[in-house]
Amino acid sequence: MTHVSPAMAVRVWLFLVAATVTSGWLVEHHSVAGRWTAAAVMLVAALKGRAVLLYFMELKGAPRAWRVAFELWIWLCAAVIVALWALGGGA
Amino acid sequence: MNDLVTIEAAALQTREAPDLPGVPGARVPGILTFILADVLVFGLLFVGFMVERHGQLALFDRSSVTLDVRLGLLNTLILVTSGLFVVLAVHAAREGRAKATRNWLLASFAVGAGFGVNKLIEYGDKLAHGISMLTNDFFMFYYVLTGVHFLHFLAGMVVLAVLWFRASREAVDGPLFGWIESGGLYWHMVDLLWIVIFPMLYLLGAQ
Repeated sequence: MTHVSPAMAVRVWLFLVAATVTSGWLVEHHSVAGRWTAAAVMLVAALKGRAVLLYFMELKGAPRAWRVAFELWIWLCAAVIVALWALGGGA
Repeated sequence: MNDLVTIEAAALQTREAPDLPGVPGARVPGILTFILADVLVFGLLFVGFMVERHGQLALFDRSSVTLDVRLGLLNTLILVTSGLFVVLAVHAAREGRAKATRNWLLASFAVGAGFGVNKLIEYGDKLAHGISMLTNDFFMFYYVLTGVHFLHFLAGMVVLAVLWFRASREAVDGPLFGWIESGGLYWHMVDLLWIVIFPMLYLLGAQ
């Protein structure tokens, strides 16, 4: 299998840093995403989690079952959190 | 007798065959099973938090905004950076570069320590303001979720330190590699969990 190269790992890290800063920015500039801020932030979190799973944990090259199980976990977590948040009337 | 020999050979092959092609050591699925079980338990806690939040929305949002978002953001940056260094340590170990492996492990530990310092500052500040687990249901979840995560973090720091120590005495591309890779995966789990815990506790109530 091919492993994640250092250059690729650095690119993933840059994405993680940018996504984290974006989350903070969205929260501090609430007017940008408005009442969807929390949902947007959770979506960004799911994408970050997925990047860690696929590239840092190298699940991209692991047997498919592992990748599916972990990807399901991160998307389910984000979906359940956003669904229950929306059920409460959102922000 | 012949069957026994065949079974033994098959068992030996199973034990010694790499679980991921090109990766020595058979520990990876073991640690992945552990990590999956662990994150599933955290997943249940997330659902518990959200259900409880649904019942006490105003209280949860009021409590959430007292948390220091910038400290939480900084902790996210710390963990993803420390995670990158572990990826680089595993990469160096795969190539048999012991010194680079140790340096990246040390860098990961040093940066990761910042998370611990921040968390202690945060707990200290909350407790100084009389906010404990008993304050309300939000802070019960806050202390349990971040506390259990903090214990995982501490275990990860011990693992990094042990790997750093062992890498000075053993070949990093020998049997130790399986441990380095497994330790790395565990450290990424600490990162992964924080990526969900932080927005859920700190940001959902953002106004």
